[in-house]
Amino acid sequence: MTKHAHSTRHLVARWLGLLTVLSILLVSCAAPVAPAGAPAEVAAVADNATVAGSDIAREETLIIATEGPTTVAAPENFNPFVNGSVGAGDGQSVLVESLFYLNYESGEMMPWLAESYQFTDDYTGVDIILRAGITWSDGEAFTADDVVFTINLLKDESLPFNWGGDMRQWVADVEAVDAQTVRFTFTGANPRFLQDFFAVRISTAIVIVPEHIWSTVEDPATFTYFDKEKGYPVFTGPYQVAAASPTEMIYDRRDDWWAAQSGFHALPAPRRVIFTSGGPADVVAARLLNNEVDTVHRVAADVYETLKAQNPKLGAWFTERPYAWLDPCPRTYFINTLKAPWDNVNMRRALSLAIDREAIAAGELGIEPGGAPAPFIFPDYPPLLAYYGEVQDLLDQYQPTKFDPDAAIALIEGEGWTRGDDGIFAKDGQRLTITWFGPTEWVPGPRTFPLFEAYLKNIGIEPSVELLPNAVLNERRNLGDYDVILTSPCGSVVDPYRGLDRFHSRDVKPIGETVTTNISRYVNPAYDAIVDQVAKLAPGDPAIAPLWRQAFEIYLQDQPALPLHQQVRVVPHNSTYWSNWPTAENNYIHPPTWWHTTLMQIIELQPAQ
Amino acid sequence: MSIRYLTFRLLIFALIIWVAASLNFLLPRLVPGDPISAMLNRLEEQGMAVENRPELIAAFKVRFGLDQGIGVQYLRYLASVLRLDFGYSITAFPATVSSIIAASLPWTIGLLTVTTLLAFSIGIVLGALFMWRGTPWLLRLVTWFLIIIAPLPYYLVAIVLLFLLGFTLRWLPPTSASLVNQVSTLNWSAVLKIIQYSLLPALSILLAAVGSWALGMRAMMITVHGEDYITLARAKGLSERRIMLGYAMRNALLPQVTALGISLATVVSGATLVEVVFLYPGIGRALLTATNNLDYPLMQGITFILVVSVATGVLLVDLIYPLLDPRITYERR
Repeated sequence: MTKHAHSTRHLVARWLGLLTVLSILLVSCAAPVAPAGAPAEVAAVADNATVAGSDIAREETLIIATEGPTTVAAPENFNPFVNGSVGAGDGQSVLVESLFYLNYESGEMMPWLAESYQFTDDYTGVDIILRAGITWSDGEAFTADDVVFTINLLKDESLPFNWGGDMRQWVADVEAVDAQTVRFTFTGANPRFLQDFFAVRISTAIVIVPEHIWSTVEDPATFTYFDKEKGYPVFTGPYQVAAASPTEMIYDRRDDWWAAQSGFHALPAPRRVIFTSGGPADVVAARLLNNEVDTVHRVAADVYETLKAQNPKLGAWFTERPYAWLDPCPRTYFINTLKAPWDNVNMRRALSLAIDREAIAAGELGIEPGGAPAPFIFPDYPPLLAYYGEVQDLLDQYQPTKFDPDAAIALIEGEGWTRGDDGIFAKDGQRLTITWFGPTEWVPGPRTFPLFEAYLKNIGIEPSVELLPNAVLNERRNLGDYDVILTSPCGSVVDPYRGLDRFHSRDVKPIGETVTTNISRYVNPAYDAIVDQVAKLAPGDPAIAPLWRQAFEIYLQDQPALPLHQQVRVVPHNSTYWSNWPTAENNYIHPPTWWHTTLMQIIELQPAQ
Repeated sequence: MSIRYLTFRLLIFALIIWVAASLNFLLPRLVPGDPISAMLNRLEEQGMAVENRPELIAAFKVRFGLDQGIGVQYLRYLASVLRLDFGYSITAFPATVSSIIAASLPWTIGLLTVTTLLAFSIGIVLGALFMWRGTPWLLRLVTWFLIIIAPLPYYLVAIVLLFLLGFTLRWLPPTSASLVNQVSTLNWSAVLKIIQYSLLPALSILLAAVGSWALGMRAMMITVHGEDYITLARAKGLSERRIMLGYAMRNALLPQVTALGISLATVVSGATLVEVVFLYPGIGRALLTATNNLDYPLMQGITFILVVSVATGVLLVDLIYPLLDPRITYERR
């Protein structure tokens, strides 16, 4: 054997060795998850074998981009009662229909699967009359039995289902009077029962499921309700699942939709609706600019202006700044009223007077002065603005959004605090400090926090201002481990009750125990008594106005929170392919595309080409 | 290689896995915040009234075994790890951790093994050629360019490529969001789709990685060039080509192979930022989502597979190294 031949053989042997290493490494990487004998790539493709489908033209397709790089955690889970399943923002909104849809603009509950309702005189029960001729996507009739079955399913204590606690709390009995009539008997008076649970008050509502399918399911908690062979998920909405993946959900129109068949409503124009992960802010902006998506959950106002300059087909709720639709959950700082010295109302009012809300709104949100500061935790929707109109004299008298650092300092001095050489107040050897928390996930947060530091130092308070991840922040919030904490409380949208109820003391507990609603831990029996009276009145009842006035005055006197400003959301839409988007002028419905009300938009969109 | 060494090495491997698995269990629990509360908080932020909070928390804690003492949780965790059963994902319940990993890992492995092997192969060849006198100037220029952009993070290269090729020139799909849905069965057209939708993320990783491999190889080539056996080879009158391929490159390659083994083993962690930029349906994105949501089981599942892969990679490289380089031996002298 020549030396050269030996060397070549040796080299080949070494490379074979190297290749073996690589192969083993690859196999070791894939082994824990890939089915035996299947190469990793093949396994992936087979697992996600849905629909390639590109046979529907772009101009017949509506593409909705979600906000940020969020993705669908479990794209093949359509169980509407668990958290990880395909949610409203992933397209559940085009599959399901609600009994009613609460319209923020008109303040009315639009009847949909239900035709009408009749509460008992004392609001301890309600009869819901379902619309006739509704069918599930498998052709079976949608009846009162399905509603009764769903409510009883939710009441099952062994199932960790969303809404379950609510139904156990409020529903004493539910029965089908006939095929079209459901009768609820409550455990107590609840005039907001329909609005809270069946009308998409915010984001979602209870989804009704077909009894003929769900009654045969062994463990509803782990039932994913997805089986293409069987046509699952079966709902009543005008679309069905065409393809599902963590980054893109595709729904195709069902031309046999009950509403079109019965003449109740025409088929929606988009033959296909795609919910796609938006991607990072700059990526989603570029996709919008290139007409690759028709709408996006949110972009910053500055970004919108830049995009609009390049693509005139873009639009938003308003044509001028702030462009934005108001989210129902205004930015609010809650004050821990159980922690000294913030258990003192003058100290809380000092905090409020220290903050220049106008400057924050103008700087952070680009809103003209006077537009954004919130006197209470209400979004500025037309029905709620009417309630502010009832208390204009109180707003003038208390000026809850006033910026007056001198008055703040006077209030603190009045409580016996003395300013030290370093400008910080002290009393009995204790410096006046405050912990001030906000979420890291709130993008403008870092920009506003130096402002808060300056405002607090300006009135002699030493701040410890910190941004925390949501999970940590919420834990501190719930356990009362803070002085002041930023959150965006969702409550009232058309009726003052839910907002007022945020300060009811019924679930206040000592610091260290979980409180999730009244996180200021504010206790005032006089206030509670008024809110309890509002609870018994139906939304829109004229008797609410004077009670609202009384409760609001107590709130203003006690200042348990610092509402900051409206939460604005620029929801851009693109009119290249679709027109008739909801806007402030064409306000047939509010514009979120991540709620169940999205369907109410989609069915009104018209082809632009 | 002695049985004794092999046993010793396997014991160390088992120890690494146990320590890693234990840390994997412990670390998420040291983070303040409770995953079930976090999940309910998200619901409340969306406006849902969660009026039965304590009840729901208790029910979920039972489902996820979080109602048990920390010791019991740990033992159960170890037992399930041995079965590679990581239970349910908290945020995607009732989806299991295994199903989520199974859906995303192959995409990541497919993308990163190809790009890692390509980056390695191109990088070492370019690095080696950089030291060869006969290399054309254009190739040198390209190599310089790649070395210059090597310190850039993947995601920066990704964003530049995205805007250039995806949005401005529109040569390639700007995101991989449609990738999974575009592929219904595995045939040639599907393979083409996969390539089409993976090309941008692959390019960004490749461009950012080739330079590093080239730089490493170049440094090794410089070292090897000073060795006596190269001088001897020259003295023997061997051709430059043969000296480079048969003597210099082969020897310079050895440390690179070690690095390649570890690089391949870390493939399972995904290229998170690239996956986020391109909406690529891979494991890095899943890990990010799990971390944001404090989804303990999913975080544990993904990191455990990562640890096992790296430990296995290192073990295999260690065991096979003597076969690649006869000078290395684990025998006692």
